[in-house]
Amino acid sequence: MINIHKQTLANGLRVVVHVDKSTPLAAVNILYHVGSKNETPVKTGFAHLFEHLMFGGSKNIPSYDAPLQMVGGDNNAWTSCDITNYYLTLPAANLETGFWLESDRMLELNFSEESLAVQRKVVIEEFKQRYLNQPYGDIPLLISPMAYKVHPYRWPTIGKEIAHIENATLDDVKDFFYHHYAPNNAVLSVSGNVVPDEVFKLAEKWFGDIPYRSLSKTTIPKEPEQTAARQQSVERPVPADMIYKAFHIGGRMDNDFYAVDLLSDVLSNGPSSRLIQSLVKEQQLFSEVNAYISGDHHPGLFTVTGNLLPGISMEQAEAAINVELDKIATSAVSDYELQKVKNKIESSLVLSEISFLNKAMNLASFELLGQAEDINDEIHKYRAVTSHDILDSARATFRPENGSTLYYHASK
Amino acid sequence: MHINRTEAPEYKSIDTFELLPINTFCLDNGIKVHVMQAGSQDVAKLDFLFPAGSVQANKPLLASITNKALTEGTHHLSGAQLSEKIDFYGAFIGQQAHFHHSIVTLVTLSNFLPQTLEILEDVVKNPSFKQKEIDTLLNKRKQEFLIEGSKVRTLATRAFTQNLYGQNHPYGNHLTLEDFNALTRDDIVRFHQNAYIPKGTHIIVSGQPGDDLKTLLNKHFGQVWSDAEPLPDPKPTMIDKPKRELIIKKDDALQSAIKIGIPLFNKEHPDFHGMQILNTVLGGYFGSRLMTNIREEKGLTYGISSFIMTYKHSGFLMIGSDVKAENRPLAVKEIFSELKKLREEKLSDEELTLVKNFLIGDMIRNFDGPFATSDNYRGLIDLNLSSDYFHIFFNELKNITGERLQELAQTYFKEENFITVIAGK
Repeated sequence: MINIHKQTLANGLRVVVHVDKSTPLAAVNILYHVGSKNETPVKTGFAHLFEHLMFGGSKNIPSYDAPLQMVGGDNNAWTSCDITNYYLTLPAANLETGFWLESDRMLELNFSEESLAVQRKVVIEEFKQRYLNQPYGDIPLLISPMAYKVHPYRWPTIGKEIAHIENATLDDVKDFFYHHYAPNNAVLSVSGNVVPDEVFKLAEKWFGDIPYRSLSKTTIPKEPEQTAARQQSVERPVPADMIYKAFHIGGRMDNDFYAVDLLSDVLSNGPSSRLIQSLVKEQQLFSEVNAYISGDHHPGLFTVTGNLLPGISMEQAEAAINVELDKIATSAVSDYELQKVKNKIESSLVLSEISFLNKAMNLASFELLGQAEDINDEIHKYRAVTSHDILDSARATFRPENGSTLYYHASK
Repeated sequence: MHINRTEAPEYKSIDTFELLPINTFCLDNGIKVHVMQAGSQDVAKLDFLFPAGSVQANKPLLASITNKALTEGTHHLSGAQLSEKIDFYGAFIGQQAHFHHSIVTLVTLSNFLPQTLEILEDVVKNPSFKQKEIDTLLNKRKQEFLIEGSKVRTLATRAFTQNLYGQNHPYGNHLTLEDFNALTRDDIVRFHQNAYIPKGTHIIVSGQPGDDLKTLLNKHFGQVWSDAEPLPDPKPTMIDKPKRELIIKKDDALQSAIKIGIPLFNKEHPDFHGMQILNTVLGGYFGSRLMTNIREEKGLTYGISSFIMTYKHSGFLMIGSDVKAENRPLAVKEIFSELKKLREEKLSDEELTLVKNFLIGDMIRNFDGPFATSDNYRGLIDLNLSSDYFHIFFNELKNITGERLQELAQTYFKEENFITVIAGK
């Protein structure tokens, strides 16, 4: 059971505190409810570029990193299609430094041409390093626009193309900031060796005078239901063929999320899972297989991937995957198999509660989606899933007309 | 409330470093057990370090495939049955082969420790090493090897270590496709018999293993199941005059990988702690000289860093970055100019304080909780160092001066000592 203390400031900032006395450290996590799905199709990659700019100095503090390092802290951030998450850890005695730094960049960034020029270049190198100059790195760039035709999940977080990042202007940056970075669009969570009342006082002191801002009201278009199977073949200079299948599923807050998550576990979580036993060990078709869900806020994807062994044809590989997907969509998993994946979930939940930073991130995320307290109900929601629920989810998901398949061929 | 946002709040510097107590005891057969008992969750992690590393194996792939194949089936349980059992307990068995030992790790909810340890005993002592399982592992490993080999940074790193340690010692990381055909089941069976033995084995336990730990460990691992002596783990013959510059062409690469480094020493060397601190200044954290110059000021790369790698018998420092081809000469030039600056100019007091404070915070993070502590402690086992090592580092960190760091830079960062490897265009 994770202890939780909460308050909301007058400007709308939600503050969540968790006390963990087993560490001498504290974590400060700020989640902004903005991700690549809030971008327009002609300016993609912006939420992520913006994350880089958040380290280029703020209104009253020229450098973000140095003052934090000076007090023994460290930090990082990540951007997804739904959120941008900033976090830092530091000795608990120096907690206030974290509040000073984070509140100033929420108040106002130092919008500098110079910082923008440098970070544009850095992000372009990141684009190349992670997506273009990496075997299989361009898969996200190929699969997103196959699976989504309307919804902004059709481009990956890094962006659709390098040109969008090259063309970003300082006006775009300012506009983005004032429409998305606001106390009323963020959750602040603090965990570690802290006293809740002191945290709330610090929150009021440093964040209390940041004005409430009116947010972007752009509505995000819904993805229409897919009605026909989609396929694409590419050829790349990689050592082995790969197959990549993506099926539409619901969003993170949908009731069947837990059943779909367990469905992916039955297929590929752990060495005894179905796909690994059948496709890797018994039939020896793949060197590696994976099944996982995206967990996106809006309706997301169930992905099944496999790296083909030499001499195995794409047809053979796909047929074998389909046999397994058909099987799980036709007959219910046994009680034993269901219990096994539930046991695994339980132990991974216990393990995830070891890290105070992890808890801060998760609490912010739960608070954003509903309420932080939901974190303590996760286990019950997983336990309540029946084998019938999993069967229903598999049936609904693994229909050919609901899927996109990418055939990634190694060039000869 | 009026607040001054331009001034940093007061902060406390950290003057003490606390390490979780590490208790040690021996099993009936002499295996040394190191215990870090702490944590709020009822979970335990057990790392078994066997003297079964790639140096002892002395044949490419032998240590890693033997280590991986342990969990593919025993004389009593098929691979599938084995993984069913472990998965059902929500437990996890992981394996890693290193140069001087191979590790088998068990992570389990503490109440299932008796059951999961029993399975682990079977895994360690009675693996069946079926040919089919070995083939599967070799196929997988071969594909990983090929995928890794299409990355410029891997090509550059491999060239760098081979240039230092040659192709015959495992430190050189030399592996070819033929090696995949040369490994036989007999090799594996024999190596398992000779290397997964009580002598030279350590067990590191962290978390909350419960009160019966010693009894349980003795029950499953306390007998003399082999009286073999550990296999030799010879030192590498360092290449006498390594090449100063190596270029590995890859014309379809969008970026070039740069690896620039120097041979160093292992953790026992008197200058090691100082070099760790100097390395941090150079490229060991986000505010480092290299990151500031090459990423944050010039935007030449997504990332640049340097690190010191140490093995039982040796070590090196390596700077690494991926940059677009046309920026490569500039990036290399700037790396050398940063090294020169460290030789010629003493660190300002401000930068010195910042690096010290950052590293102290980093130490606290690295030793936060039993699992993190055990991961760091594990690095000392090869060298028979005690945990005092960390306190010594902390004291040196508190007391190091700008003069000392400059002196180290002048001693080790001589331009003619550096080896430059480029992979890509």
